[in-house]
Amino acid sequence: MLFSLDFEWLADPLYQDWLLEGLGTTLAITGVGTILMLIIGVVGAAIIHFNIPVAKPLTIIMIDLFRNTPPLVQLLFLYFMLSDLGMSYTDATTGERIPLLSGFACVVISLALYNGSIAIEVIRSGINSVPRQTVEGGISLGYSRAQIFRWIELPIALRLTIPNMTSNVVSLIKTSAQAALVAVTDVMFYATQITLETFLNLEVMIVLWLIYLVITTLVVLLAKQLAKALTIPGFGAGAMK
Amino acid sequence: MSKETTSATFGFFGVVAALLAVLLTLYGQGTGEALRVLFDRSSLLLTGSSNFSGFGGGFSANVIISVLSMAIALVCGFFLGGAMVSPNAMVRSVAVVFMNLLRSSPWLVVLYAMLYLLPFNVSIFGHHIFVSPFLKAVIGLSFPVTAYIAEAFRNGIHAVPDGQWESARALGYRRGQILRLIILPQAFPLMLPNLMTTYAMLFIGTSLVVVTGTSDVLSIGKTVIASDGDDYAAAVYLYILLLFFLFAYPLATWTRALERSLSKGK
Amino acid sequence: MNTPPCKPFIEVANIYKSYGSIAVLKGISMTIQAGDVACIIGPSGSGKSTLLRCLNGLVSVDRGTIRVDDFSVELLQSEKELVPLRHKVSMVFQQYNLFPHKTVLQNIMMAPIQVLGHNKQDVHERAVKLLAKVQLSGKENAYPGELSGGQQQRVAIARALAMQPEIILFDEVTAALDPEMVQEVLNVIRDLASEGMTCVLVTHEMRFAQQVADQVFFTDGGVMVEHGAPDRFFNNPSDPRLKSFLAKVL
Ligand SMILES: Nc1ncnc2c1ncn2[C@@H]1O[C@H](COP(=O)(O)OP(=O)(O)O)[C@@H](O)[C@H]1O
Ligand SMILES: [Mg+2]
Repeated sequence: MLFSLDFEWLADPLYQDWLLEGLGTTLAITGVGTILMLIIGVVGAAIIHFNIPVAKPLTIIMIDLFRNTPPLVQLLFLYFMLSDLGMSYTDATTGERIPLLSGFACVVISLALYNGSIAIEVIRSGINSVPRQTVEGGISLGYSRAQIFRWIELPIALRLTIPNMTSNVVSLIKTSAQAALVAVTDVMFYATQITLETFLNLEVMIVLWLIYLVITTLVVLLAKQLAKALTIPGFGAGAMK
Repeated sequence: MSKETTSATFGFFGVVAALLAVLLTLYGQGTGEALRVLFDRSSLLLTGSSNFSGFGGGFSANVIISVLSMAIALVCGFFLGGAMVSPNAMVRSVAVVFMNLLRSSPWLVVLYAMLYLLPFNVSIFGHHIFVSPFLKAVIGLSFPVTAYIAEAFRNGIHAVPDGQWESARALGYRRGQILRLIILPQAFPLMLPNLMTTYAMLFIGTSLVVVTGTSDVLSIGKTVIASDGDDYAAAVYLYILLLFFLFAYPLATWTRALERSLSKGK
Repeated sequence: MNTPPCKPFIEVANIYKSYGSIAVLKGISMTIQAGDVACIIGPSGSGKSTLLRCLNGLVSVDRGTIRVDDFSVELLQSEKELVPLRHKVSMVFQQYNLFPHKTVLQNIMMAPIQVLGHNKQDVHERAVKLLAKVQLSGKENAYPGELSGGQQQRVAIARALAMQPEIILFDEVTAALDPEMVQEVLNVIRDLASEGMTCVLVTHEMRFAQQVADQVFFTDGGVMVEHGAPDRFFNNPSDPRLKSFLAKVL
C-alpha cells in the first residue's frame, strides 16, 4: 500500500497555491496567537502575584475554565456567541451586515486564552522558583515590589520557563488546526479541500502532517537558540536551589 | 478546610458561576427559555438517546471513547516506552524517533488520517468487522496518547535511582526481572500523576472526534442547534463546556493532590 | 566624623517581634553612634538577623521604636516611605543575594539608577571605583555564578556601597565562605570601618570583632544580655550566659 502513494498532485500549481496560502494563514494565526498568549501569561501572572482584588479571582476562574475544557468548544462558543450577540456592523455603502470579529479573530482570541491560561501557570511556577534571598536583595536596595517583579523576578522566571513555554507554543500550533472547523482557511482547511478534490486522503494528510512537523521543529530549534543566547554563565536550572 | 481544598472549591463554583453569568448576560430575559431547551435536550446531549435509554452517544460517548483510547494507548505506550529504555541503542533510537513523531502530530490531522486510512470493513479470519466512526475515533486518539504514555513511562523509569539497578544486578536479577519486580513498582507511583494528566488531556481531546462523524456530544450539540435554532447555539456550547468542566476539573484537582502527596513523601 | 555627636545615630528602644506564637525579640534596646562599628554576637536563633532586619525595615516590629538618624523606622509603612531609609541603610547578606541574571557591573549599577534615579555615567564611574576598592577590577562583565563565594560577597559589598549609604548592615557575611576567603571579605569591611562608615555586623568572627568593633552586643533568647567596649566585653564578661557562650566560641 505504501508503494502506491501518489504525490503527483503536489505538482499542481493550484494545490501549491492553496497550501502556501493556508500555510500563511496558519503562521499568522500562530504568530499573533503566541504574542497575545505571552502577554496574557505575563499580565495574568502579575495579577496573581500582586494579589489584585477582583482581578485575581477572575484570573483564577479563567485559568480553571480554559484549562479544563476543550479548546474546540471554547472556539465554537466564542464564534457563535459573537455572532449571537450581533457583534457586527452595517456597511454604510452596501447595507451589508459584516461580523465585527472574523473567524480568524475568533481563532486567535480562543488560542490566546487557552494557551494563555497555561502560560500564566508556567510563568507563575517560574516566579515561584526565584530564590527568596534574591528578592530580598532587591528589597534591601529599596526596590518596590513592582520593580522587583519587573527587573528581577520576571526576567529570571522567563528564562527558567523557556522549555515549558516552548511546549506551550507547540501546543498552540497544533491546536490551531481546529481553525478549519470554523471555516478559517488555514493549511488544514486547504488540505481537506484538496482531499475532497483528489480523494488522495492519505497522501494529503501525510504532507499536512509533515508541514506541522516542520513548523513545530523549527519553533523548538529556535527556542533552543534563544535559551542558549540567554544562558547566564554559572547559572542553570540546577544552580537555582 | 485545607488551603488546597478551599482553592479547588473556589475554582469549581467560580467557573460554574461564571458560565451561568455568561448565559444570563447573553440571554437576559430569555434565560429561562434557554434553560428549558437545555433541560429538554439534556438526555440527548448526555446519552445520545432521547430519554436516557442508551449510552452510546452524546457526552457518555466521549467518556467511553476516552476510556477505550486510554486502554489501547496504555498497552501500546508501555511497549513503546519499554523500547525507549531498551539496552539496544538501535531499538532505543527508533522508538524515540517514533514517539516524537507521534507526539508532534496535531490530533486533528491524525483523526482525519484515520478517517480515510482505516477501511470501513476489515475481515479477520473470515469475520467481517465494521469499522465504525466510533472505532476510528478511539483508534485515532490512541495514537498521540501512546506517545505521551511512552514518555511518562520512560521518565518514570529514569526517576528511579540508578543504584536500584546496580544493587538488583548485584543480587543476580536479570534485566527483565529488575524492570518488572524492582523498577516498575517504584516507577509506577511516580508516573501516576503524569498518566492522569495525559488522560485528562485525552478526555478533553475527545471533543475533536466530531470530525469522524460519530455521535459525540459536539455532533449532537450541532444537531440540537440545527433543530432548535441558532439562537440557542451559545447556550448549547456553554452547556457542553460545563459538562467537560464537571468531569475534568475534579480529575485535575485529584491529580494535584496526588502530586503533592508524592512530593511530600520524598 | 570621629567626634562623637551628642545624639546617637541609631537608637533602638524596647522592640518586640513575634512570628505567630514564637517571640523572637523581647524588648531589645541599643544605641550606636555615627561612625562606629557595632558587632552583634549571640547563639544561632537568638534573633540577631531579625534585629538587623528591623533596622532597615525588612522586618516590621510589633512594639517599640527604632530611630535611624531622622527616620522613625517603625512608622514607615509603604515601600515609598522606606526607599529613603534604604538609601541611607544598605545591607549585605550571608548568601550574597546577588541578582544571578545580571553581570557584576549591572548588579552594582542597577539600584542607584532604577531606585535612586542617579545619572548613568556617574553611577558607572562610581561602580568602577568601587570594584577597584573591593579588588575586583576586571570582573565587570562576569556573572555572579562565575565567581567564588568571597568574590561574590565583595561584589555584594560594592553593590551596597553604590547606594552611597551612611550605614551598612552585615549579616554573617563570612559564614558561608571557605576559610581562605573570609579574610579577603573582612579586609574590605575593615577598610570601610577605618574610613568612618557606620557598620553593624552580626558575626561569629570574634577576633575580628575584638579588633574592629567600638561596641559589642550579645543577644540571647531575644533579649540584649550584655554590651560594651570589646576589651571589657571579651576579657571581663559579667553575665554567665555570655561567659559560657564565649567559652564555646573562643
Ligand atoms: N520569617 C520568619 N518566620 C518565622 N519565624 C522566623 C522568621 N524569621 C526568623 N524566624 C525565627 O526567629 C528566630 C530567630 O531568628 P534569627 O533572627 O534568624 O536568628 P539568628 O540570626 O540569631 O540566628 C528563629 O527561631 C527563627 O526560626
Ligand atoms: Mg541569622
